[in-house]
Amino acid sequence: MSEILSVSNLVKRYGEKAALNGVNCHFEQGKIYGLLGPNAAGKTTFLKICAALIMIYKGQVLIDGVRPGLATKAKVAYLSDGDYFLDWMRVSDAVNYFNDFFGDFDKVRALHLLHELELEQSSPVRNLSKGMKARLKLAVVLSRRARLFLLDEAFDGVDPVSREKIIDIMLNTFDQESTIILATHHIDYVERLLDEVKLLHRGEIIREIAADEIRQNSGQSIGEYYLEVFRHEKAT
Amino acid sequence: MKKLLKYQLMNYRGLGMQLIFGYVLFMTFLGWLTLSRTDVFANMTMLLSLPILVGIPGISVIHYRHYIPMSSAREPLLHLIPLPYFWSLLASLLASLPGGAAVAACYFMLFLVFRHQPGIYLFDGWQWLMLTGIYILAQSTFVCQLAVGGVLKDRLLWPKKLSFLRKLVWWGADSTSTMYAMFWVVLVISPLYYYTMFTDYIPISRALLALSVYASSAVLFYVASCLFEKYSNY
Repeated sequence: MSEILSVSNLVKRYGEKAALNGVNCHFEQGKIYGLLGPNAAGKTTFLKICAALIMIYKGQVLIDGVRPGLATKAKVAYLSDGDYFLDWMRVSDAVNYFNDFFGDFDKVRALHLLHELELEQSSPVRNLSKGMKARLKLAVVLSRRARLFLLDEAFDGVDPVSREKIIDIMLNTFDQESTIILATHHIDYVERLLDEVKLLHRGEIIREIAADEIRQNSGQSIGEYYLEVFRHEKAT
Repeated sequence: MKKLLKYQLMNYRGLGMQLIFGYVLFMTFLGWLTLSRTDVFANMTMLLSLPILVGIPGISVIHYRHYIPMSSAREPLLHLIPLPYFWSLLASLLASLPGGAAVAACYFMLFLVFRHQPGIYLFDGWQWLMLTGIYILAQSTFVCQLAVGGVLKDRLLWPKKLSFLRKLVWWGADSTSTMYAMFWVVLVISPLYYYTMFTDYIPISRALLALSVYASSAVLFYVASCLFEKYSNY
């Protein structure tokens, strides 16, 4: 499988504090990765660099061989964990916005997802509940045919039924040409989605392992494995 | 570009914009009421109607809030679209013009109502040109300041003894209205506005002054788009 994202010696500092401290990792096409770690591990910073929202850093990041920037924005779909849409938007505006600016956006799929997730097109975004906003974010971002999806705490606030529905849709429609990186500390939400996990701690990748390897070798779930690793890290 | 402009114009549907326009209309009405019901000197019109100009920075801050580096965790859509920053900034600038024009119209209406009173005069063509230029220059200055703020964010290391200064700068940068007011009113707008209003005291030629205002706007605007393009720091 070909490599979609390659990261070498990535360092990002906020003043004197290092958010990322020499990250080295690679991501292959056709896989769903879990970028897992506790709060302040550097997950969001990592995704923002890949999404070209942060362009001041040290080290090398290459998406399909190109530094994140204008050229990569067309093939990267980023979902942030905060507010995403503009406050004047209605649900239909959000869909039209993506349709107008992203050539890989599939409007039919988006409308289908809105229906599945029970979102009214005429609803103003600012009137939506937190969970509904999260569902809308996922609906529009996952309706792109992007090469690389960067999803930051994508399922936060989404109720369990909708979450399972979205995960089913993701598994059923996942394109082998794409790659998904899910950054989260809610491992139980995404357990069944993941092909590989990368554990990020204090700005460094401390473990990289295939999900099947965890299950087969230790008989643990990813959540249990995560707890074991981070309990050990805390103890040391 | 058309699509960008369309979405930027839709900003006027936002609650913040509606509040600002409500404020501008209210202040215009208040200015008219004060002047028509009291014996205030007519040449105080300009002074009394100044609060409506507060609407302009308000419109600008709301318009460019997505480029504010300190609050960028919110609404990153404009930064994600695969188009050069120059175009999205230009769309923001063009879309802010109707807002400025609406405020200017309110201001102009007050002049029109009281035009027969002594001390009131209407702007000439050059003054309107200059006022538009000042408006564009203020926008460019603001955008450039935001771009520079983004580049410098987390890069300025302050000695511990000066940490209070760091907090002050951080607070100033975060409350953009403060920064904006400082840049706009003190450094740029006040002197230009003064020269525009009191043309007798202009130290250089009118054409040169207008040209320098528009040229400075273009340079600041271009610098801002380059900084966003190369050194985004959100």
